[in-house]
Amino acid sequence: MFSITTILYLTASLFCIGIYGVLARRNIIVVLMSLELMLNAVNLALVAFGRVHGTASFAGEHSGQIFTLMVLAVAAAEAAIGLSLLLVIWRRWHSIDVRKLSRMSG
Amino acid sequence: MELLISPTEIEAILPAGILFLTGLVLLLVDLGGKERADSGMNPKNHLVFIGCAGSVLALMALVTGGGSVVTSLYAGAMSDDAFGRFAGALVTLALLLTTLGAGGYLSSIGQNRGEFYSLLFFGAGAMVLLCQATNLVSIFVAIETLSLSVFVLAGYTTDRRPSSEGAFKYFVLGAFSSGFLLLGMAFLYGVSGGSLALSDIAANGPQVADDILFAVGVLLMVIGFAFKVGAVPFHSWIPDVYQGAPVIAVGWMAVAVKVASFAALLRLLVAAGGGETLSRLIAAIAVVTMLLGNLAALNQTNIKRMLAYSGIAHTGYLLIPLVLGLTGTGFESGSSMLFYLAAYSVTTFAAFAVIATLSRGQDRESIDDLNGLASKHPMIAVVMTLAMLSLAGIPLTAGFVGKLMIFRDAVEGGYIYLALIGIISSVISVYYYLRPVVAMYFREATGDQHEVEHPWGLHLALALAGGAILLLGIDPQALVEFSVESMRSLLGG
Amino acid sequence: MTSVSYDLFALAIFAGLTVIVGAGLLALSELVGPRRRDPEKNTTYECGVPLFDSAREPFTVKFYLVAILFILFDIETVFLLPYAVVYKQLGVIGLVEMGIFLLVLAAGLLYCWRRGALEWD
Repeated sequence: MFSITTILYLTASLFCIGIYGVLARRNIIVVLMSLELMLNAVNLALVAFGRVHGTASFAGEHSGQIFTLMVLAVAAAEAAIGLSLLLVIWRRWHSIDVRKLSRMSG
Repeated sequence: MELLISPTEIEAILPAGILFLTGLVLLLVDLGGKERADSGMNPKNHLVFIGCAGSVLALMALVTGGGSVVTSLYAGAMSDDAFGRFAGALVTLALLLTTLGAGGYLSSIGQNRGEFYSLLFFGAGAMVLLCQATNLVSIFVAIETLSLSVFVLAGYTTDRRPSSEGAFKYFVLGAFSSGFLLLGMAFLYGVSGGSLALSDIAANGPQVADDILFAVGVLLMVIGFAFKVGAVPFHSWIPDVYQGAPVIAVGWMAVAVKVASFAALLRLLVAAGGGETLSRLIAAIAVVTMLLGNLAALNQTNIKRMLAYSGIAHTGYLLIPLVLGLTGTGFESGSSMLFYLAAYSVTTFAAFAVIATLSRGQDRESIDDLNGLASKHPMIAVVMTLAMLSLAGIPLTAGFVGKLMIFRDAVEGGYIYLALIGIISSVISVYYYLRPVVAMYFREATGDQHEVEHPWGLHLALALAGGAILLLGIDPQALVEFSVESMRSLLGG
Repeated sequence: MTSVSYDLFALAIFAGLTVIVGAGLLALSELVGPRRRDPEKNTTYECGVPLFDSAREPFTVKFYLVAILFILFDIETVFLLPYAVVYKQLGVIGLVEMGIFLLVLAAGLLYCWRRGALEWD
């Protein structure tokens, strides 16, 4: 199988793609997708580390996988709140362009 | 592997459990179907009473339980020590005050709904858990639950554009920072031999301290927390969110999120260490945060934005004990942080609650809106003055004692420059903290301002907060001893 | 490290083959296949129902609400499945904890229902 280093490189690349998406894209939906991508990149690393360490210690086996399940649930809740905020914004102002949102300053 | 739950474990989770349960009850009690939509003007005292009962119960569970230090509950997921209970009690106290104030304020803006209260309580339960959490999973889940509840609170008034805008900014940056936090956690998990518990990370720390993944992991987690507490350069969301959110929710998030995040960060750094490099980095962040927060607050005319920048500055002061702890002098200075958090909580809540009393239909948030308040409502003006003096650090207030403790620790720990910059920026801050006071006492009111409807809860909360500022300022000894003891329970294990 | 590069090499061969086969088939049909274009042939369903309108219409916001609720209630099965594997070992306390979990979910559902989030209009 792939070594842990390879998977960490993949994690880092996916995470950086996520960062780029959050910072550079204008469409709110794409921003939300990028946020999810960041979390899922880390999930990959967690599963990989969990496999490397296996049954090493603490709370029996699979702690990395358990962490991943928790992250999945959190990511779902986050997505739901992101989409709800998106709905509120769309209903009011009929735009999902991030740049039109930044009216406040100072 | 039979699953067993010991009485100590139930005792440890009881406060958070009470808070979550109260949140659920509040959510279901205020379910009136669709016709409920126009009942937002109703003060709904029963919601406030349920909320107060729940938070008082949780407070009692926090204060009475947990005689001994138990470090490994739920397979290492949480601990039961005086430190966690102290920070949790601060959060619950802020919750009690916020609940008291929420009924009157929300009905004045026509948005009094059960959701607000249950979001408060879900967030508070997560914060109490965060103060007690000792493994990476429970820290992450708690911090996410509290963040999600606060995101929604920030956007609670969906009919106001700044509220939704601020909430969305907060959401994107908050989720972004959670990504960094989580990546840091994954790295720590990876290098510390497959353990998620902070105690194992502490035990393995010295062996892997040279590992680049370990250093990067701790750094990423610190960045994640820096977002949550609003340290420069991760502070940009704070003014927008504070300006947009309903002011009673701002008071809540300014206080409680900071208390819980700093408690968790302190626990994390005590376990993971991080050494000289991280200490220098946090020192730099502290200096910039103190200066930038205070300087940017100088020319704000919107009082919510002013308090937002002032909150950033206070984050800077609160970072100083972390710097001291990381340099090897030990984390005893964490007790100053605990006391400062207590002082900051009551003070900041008082300031935001005063603004909440002034709102009619919408927030009155310009400093000019305070003009002549002293002649019409002398007691509210007195509380506001106390809050401003305490934030500025004038003697005989809680804020003074807190700053004194932190700066004294800095001097004793050999960080005289940190203390000096702290004192200089505090002196700068006196200027803008006095502006509302001047407006209240020396300017004439214009128009129909200050027609306060006297919601009883808000005034009770104001009185409690004002009394606490004075009490902590005049006779801080008991709380100082208690925070020293709490810190010892964290370090002694 | 050698095993890794070997794996990556295999992956590269696989990816290469995929591209070659895909492109080859497309090119082949382009070269060999007969071409008779007329408006009938360019419609979406060549011998099916005529289209009402374009598929690129924005769809109603109500779907988003359903999607949000679906995500929330769907992802919670993520905790039920691992529990199903070990429920015997976890015993009564595990059952009680799962019961509490499901009750909280049910409270959420009750909230959605009473607030009218499940109604289409």
